[in-house]
Amino acid sequence: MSDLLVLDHLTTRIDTARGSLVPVDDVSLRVPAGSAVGLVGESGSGKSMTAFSIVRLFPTTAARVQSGRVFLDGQDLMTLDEAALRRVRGRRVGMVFQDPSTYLDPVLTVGEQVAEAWAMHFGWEGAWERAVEALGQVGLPEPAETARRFPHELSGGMRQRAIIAQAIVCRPQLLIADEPTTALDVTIQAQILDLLRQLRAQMGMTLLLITHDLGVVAEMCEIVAVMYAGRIVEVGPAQPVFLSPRHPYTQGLLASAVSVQQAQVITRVMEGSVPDLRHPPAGCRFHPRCPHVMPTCRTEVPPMFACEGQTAACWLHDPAVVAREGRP
Amino acid sequence: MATSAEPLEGFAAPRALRDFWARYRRSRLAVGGLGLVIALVLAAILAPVLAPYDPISTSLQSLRPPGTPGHPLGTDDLGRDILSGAIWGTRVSLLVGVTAAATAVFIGIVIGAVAGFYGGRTDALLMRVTELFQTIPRFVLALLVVALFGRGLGKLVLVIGLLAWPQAARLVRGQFLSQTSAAYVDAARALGMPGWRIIFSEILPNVLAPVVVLGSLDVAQAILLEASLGFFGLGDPNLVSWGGMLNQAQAYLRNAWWMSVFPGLGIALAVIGFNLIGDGLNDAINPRLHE
Repeated sequence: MSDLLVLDHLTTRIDTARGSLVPVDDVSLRVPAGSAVGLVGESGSGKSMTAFSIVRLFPTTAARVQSGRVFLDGQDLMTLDEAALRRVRGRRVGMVFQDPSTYLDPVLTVGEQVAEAWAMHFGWEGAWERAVEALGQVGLPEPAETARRFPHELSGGMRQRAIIAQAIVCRPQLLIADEPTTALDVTIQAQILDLLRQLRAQMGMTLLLITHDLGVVAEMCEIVAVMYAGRIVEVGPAQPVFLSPRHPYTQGLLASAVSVQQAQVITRVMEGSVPDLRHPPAGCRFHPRCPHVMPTCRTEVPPMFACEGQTAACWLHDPAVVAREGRP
Repeated sequence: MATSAEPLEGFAAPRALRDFWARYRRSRLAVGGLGLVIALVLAAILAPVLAPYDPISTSLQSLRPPGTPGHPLGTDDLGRDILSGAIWGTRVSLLVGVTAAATAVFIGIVIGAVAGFYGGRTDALLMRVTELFQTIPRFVLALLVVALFGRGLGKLVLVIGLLAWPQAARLVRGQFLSQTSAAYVDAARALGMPGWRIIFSEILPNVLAPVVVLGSLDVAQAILLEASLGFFGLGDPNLVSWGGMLNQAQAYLRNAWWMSVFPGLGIALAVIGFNLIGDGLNDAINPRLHE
């Protein structure tokens, strides 16, 4: 299977008045065509900024891609100028954002907004019909009727469907969904996830799902990438990563997920918190919180070590380092 | 926005308009203002039919008081019918008022939108220019321009428009500043929309309400400014205008009150009408009063 999206040593920095930070630091990731990849991490781990970096769509003008490449279907997006990039956004890369209540323009009808998303790339002719069709595809009842409604006339779940319709109306190759269910209640979450799965199957779309919810990833994705403090710490097929995580951070993350066993809710919390990205720790960024920390971890950035199907950025997988410094 | 202007099936204007009218109608004053303006517009359109005389034709019956047979509002020093003059004067006032306000609002929207949307240095530069224009005393500059370039309706409109835009620009900029960080703008960017398109088809409809209000108040202002210039003899000499009639009346304030009162009443009614509409619109479209 060929890769639809390749991030190659992507680094994005934000220059602020109080110093610069690097929310995406040397991130490499392959997203095979037709697959669903989950990008997981805590708040502030850089997972959303990674997604924004793909089409250089930053929430602040202070952010810019410093180095690295992004290939979409073999084309290097970093060589494109703003106008060429606009033709990629929406048309080849659709995006779904977190909060459905704010991502629709309050004064335009849902149909107008979906139609506009289409017209932007293909012209106004037939745009309305296409919009109604897309609204039907995302499972909105009576799409022709709903198209004439304003966002405030729809429920949260319906709005999120409308946003998805906007994202898929041009049939993009890649759909980036940034926390698509976080703002929704649990039953609606399940419906939206079902919808994304179904659209993927129907349209052969590749999905990059950004979330902090491990359950969602386990349910939706074949491949999972775990981010910590701007770096990817572990990548691999979802099942092995969840069953036998190779990076201490992933292990901690999975251990801290609430598990219900024998009518007993066990909550475990990882010690410490995500470091300030303005002053990241040297070496492995997880070392201040890592239970297995070794001297090398404090000074050297760990490369990605292959361990069976997975790769993990952890010195524990370097036998030489472990032999020298590891605890018996 | 040329591409999106075609009437496309399903676009929701009619219902929004109906809701809007229902809210507007709640204020009696606003409806009264609208009635007043409609009456003035009709008078302007039907002037040739309504006016009993040609407003510039002189007669020997000069300085007749109101109630004179054939001249219900009297005549001026040259025997011209005041009623006919007042009716024809509506045309100039409305034309100048509306086109000048439209010019001002248009310039204001473009400059304010660009400043508010792009921010940073663009914003700083455009706002300094705006402030510069605001510091110029309107009336003095209008006098200067008319004195230098001569009198004429087109010039008058341009001068008034060029003097009135800063207010609209500041308003639009403020609105854009608050909207540019809205999530739907990010969403529009993610759909591949270019900046100008986000400005005009996504954000502008959100901020249009207060601009329309300002526009109707600008009309009143422009009518007043045009009349003031006319009063000082700087109106278009070839047209009958309320300001021009007031200019004529200056010499006869003591012995022919009707020469100044009726054109003055016209100005007052027009200004009050547009101000009432402005207030009514403000109440009707103010988003905070929605729902």
